[in-house]
Amino acid sequence: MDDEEQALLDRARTGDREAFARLATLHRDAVFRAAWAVLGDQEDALDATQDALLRAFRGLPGFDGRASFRTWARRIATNVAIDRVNRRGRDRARGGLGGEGLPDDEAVADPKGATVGTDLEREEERRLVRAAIEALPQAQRAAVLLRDVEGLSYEEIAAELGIPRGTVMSRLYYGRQTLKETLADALGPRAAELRKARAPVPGSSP
Amino acid sequence: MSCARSPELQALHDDELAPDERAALVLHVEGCAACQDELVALDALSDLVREAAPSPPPDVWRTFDADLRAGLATTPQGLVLLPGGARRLGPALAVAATVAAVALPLWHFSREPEIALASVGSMPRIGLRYSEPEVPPGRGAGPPRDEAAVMAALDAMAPGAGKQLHDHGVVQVRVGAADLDALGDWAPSGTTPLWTADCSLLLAGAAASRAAWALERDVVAPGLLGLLEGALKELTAFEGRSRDAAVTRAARRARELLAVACTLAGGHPALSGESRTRVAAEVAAVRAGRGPRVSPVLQREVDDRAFVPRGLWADGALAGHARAAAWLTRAGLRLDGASPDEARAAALLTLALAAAPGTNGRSGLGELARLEGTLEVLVGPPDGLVAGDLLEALRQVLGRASVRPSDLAPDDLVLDLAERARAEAAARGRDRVGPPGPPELRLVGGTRSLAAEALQRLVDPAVPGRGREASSLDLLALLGSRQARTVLSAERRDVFPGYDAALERLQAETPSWRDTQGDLPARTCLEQGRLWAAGALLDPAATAAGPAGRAYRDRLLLASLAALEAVPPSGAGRPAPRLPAPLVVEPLPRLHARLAFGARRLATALEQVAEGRVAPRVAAALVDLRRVAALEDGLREASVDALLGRGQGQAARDALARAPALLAGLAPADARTASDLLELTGGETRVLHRVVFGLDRLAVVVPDGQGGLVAAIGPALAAGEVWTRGRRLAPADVATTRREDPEWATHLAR
Repeated sequence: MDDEEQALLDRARTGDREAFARLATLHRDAVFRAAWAVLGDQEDALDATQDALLRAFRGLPGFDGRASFRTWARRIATNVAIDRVNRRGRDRARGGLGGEGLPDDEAVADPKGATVGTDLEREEERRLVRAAIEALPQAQRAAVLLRDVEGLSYEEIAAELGIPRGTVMSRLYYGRQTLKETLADALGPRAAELRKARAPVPGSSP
Repeated sequence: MSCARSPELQALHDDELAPDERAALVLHVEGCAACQDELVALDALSDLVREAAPSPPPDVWRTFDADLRAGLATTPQGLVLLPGGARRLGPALAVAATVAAVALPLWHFSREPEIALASVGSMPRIGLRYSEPEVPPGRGAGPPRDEAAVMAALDAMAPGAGKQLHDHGVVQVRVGAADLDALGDWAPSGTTPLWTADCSLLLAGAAASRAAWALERDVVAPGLLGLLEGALKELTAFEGRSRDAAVTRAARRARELLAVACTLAGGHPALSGESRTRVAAEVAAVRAGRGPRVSPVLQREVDDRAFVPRGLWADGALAGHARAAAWLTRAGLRLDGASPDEARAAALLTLALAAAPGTNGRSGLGELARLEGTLEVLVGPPDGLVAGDLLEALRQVLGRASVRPSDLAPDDLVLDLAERARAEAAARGRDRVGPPGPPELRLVGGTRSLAAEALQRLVDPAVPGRGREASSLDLLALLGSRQARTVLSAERRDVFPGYDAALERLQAETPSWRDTQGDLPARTCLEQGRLWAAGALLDPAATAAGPAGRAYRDRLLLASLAALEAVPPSGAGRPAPRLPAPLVVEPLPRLHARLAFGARRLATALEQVAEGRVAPRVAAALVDLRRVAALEDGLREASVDALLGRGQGQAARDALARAPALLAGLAPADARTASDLLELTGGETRVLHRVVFGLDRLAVVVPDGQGGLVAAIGPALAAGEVWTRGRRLAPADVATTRREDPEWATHLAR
């Protein structure tokens, strides 16, 4: 975290709410994505993000600074999201945690979506990709999202999830293979590249 | 079309290769159409994933920001107790004081459940008032207002009680069941059960144990056997192809190791000659489970009692698997320069797994990763290096992405591997507590199966090798408490200074406690003390120095030493209690929060590993776990209510109303009292819940955080103890008094 952020954090610790709000602005996208990864629904994820950030403020005295603020806040969001899912019960869960069925994520207007022409196609494509991501088992989904969306290295992912690097790689691998299979079927022309590279042979003797 | 090296492209795509590896792989890709396609696909996929991540538009964030600021304005920041008893009050407190709002404790989680600290308003004055707002007619006229009368009444109940109240602000009063009637709002029969923290632990532990057993039976056991057989075939092939004596030797060693596990798990590996004899001898010894001996396969000393399945795992269907799993967790292969043979064997084992086929098109290594993920739920993260790490280390040592067994011939390469492995283990273990030693390859899970260990303690107090008592710590560890796990697996209690100190303190207190109680068994004291110490593990404030920390510890101590065992057993065959609301709950909200969190975490993990195909046993376990989580949530609410001395809220009552069904589900109808029993009925195992009734209740007078003191039933909060026997505590005895005690007020609001 850079100096400006550190200053914000220090002030937030003393109870400066303005500083905290600014700190939150810097990280809210990442926190939102963490909640979304579990809940699979944007509106719910927004609520959970709000909840998580307030809890982060409350719990700030207990934050030891060993992890980054972003990582810490993201974890809070993940737990908040998991709590929500469990409180609501499985059958009403909106596809999070690897549940079956496509989630309905039209509750919040997608920023990149418009209503006409090729944009509609891209919007549909995004929905399908999201559904495929949400259908992954949680462990694999977390690895894929941390890698491709958050841009973390294998080491960073390993530290974040508390697993060995080798496990990160295997979860990534299987998650991506599954996504490739799912999307090669579901998507249109964009998926030509995915289809071409399907079905690797099982590992032969080294 | 595809290429055998396709799986390596991921690291290239993610830019995680060292320069020379990268160069080598790029060279390959340039000549391989299949790999080129795969790389393009990976690119496309990553782009798709990145673009699919939702991001709310600016106007949504604007509204969000406004809401957040509004939320922050009414959110108090927490209070921190520093060592030395000093308190640092956030400026938020000053704000809150002027607002004159009383904040309620807020319980929330970060990665480990942590109870958030709440602030209070202005420093309150402490009064005393009757806790139950509705006094049934004829039972009392309501609280008098005379402080002297209160003191006198308390002194009459027990000498020194009045002074206790004056000096410490709280007093603990023990009343009989009949006295509870006088306070109203209790079941007329006076048999309101007392639910204490260890009841929760037992219940949650039972649900978790059943879940673990279902998981091992339906997911892990079949998977493991298949994996072992596949890997064995590959090892046989390696051995046949090898021309190097060292490699052949190592392959044989790896085969024997796996063959033992395979045989124990019910497989029939093909072996010949000396190997066959050795493996047979090993299997026989492990099955006999007698004691320490030198293992022909491992060539070091082992104690076979470690492989004896207990509790749920003694069930015939799982006993073999349990032994095999225990063998694989304990029979580590050493990866150090002193044992190049073992290092080679470990590397070959890893390669065999990588080459063997798994389920659903996975390789053996993938299958193992899946099992490892499953087992991580049960036994925690692996203690040693696992196959995936070792493969990685191999690649780095060799500087290329594929390895052949013959590569393992030269000794210096093996030594490099050992060095590399040690570095990996050290890097990974930097946050772990544990005895240092050479890195080991463990194929399966951590060094213990916590579920089995927890359960065996409930069954079998005379566990060889440890001699530890029945353990709330084990159950806490099973339910995910990392601190508890760390203490158990490393026995490094100096990491948690509160723990040992807590136990010592308890042992010092125990004799006097027993004098008061009469025949309170020492074992129970110890168990309760462990519970208390476990509470200390969960709450940093419990280990704080200074008067605040001491007071908190006292509170925890007495909460744990609630006099369950003072009740003579009421005999067998008693019908299961109908638990009427309000249930009296002992206030360890953090513990209940932890148990709810752990049960949920376990349920979530179960769902994940089932990969959409949940077997019936696992499904039933899931239901139990979720119910336990819901119940513990309610208990958390109830304990907060008790702590604050207010009446039980609706949330608490609703959750507690579910308790009877849960108990019935997890324990037979004829629950026996005051002891834990484990029954094997028809192959299924249940843990009986310890329910006590007809028991003297503890009542305590505590600050309510709103400027009053309340006589709250159940919670054992006190700076000291005052006893009464059979003395009726009438509502008229309780009055209001005023005292300033900022310490207690703020303390209690936590």
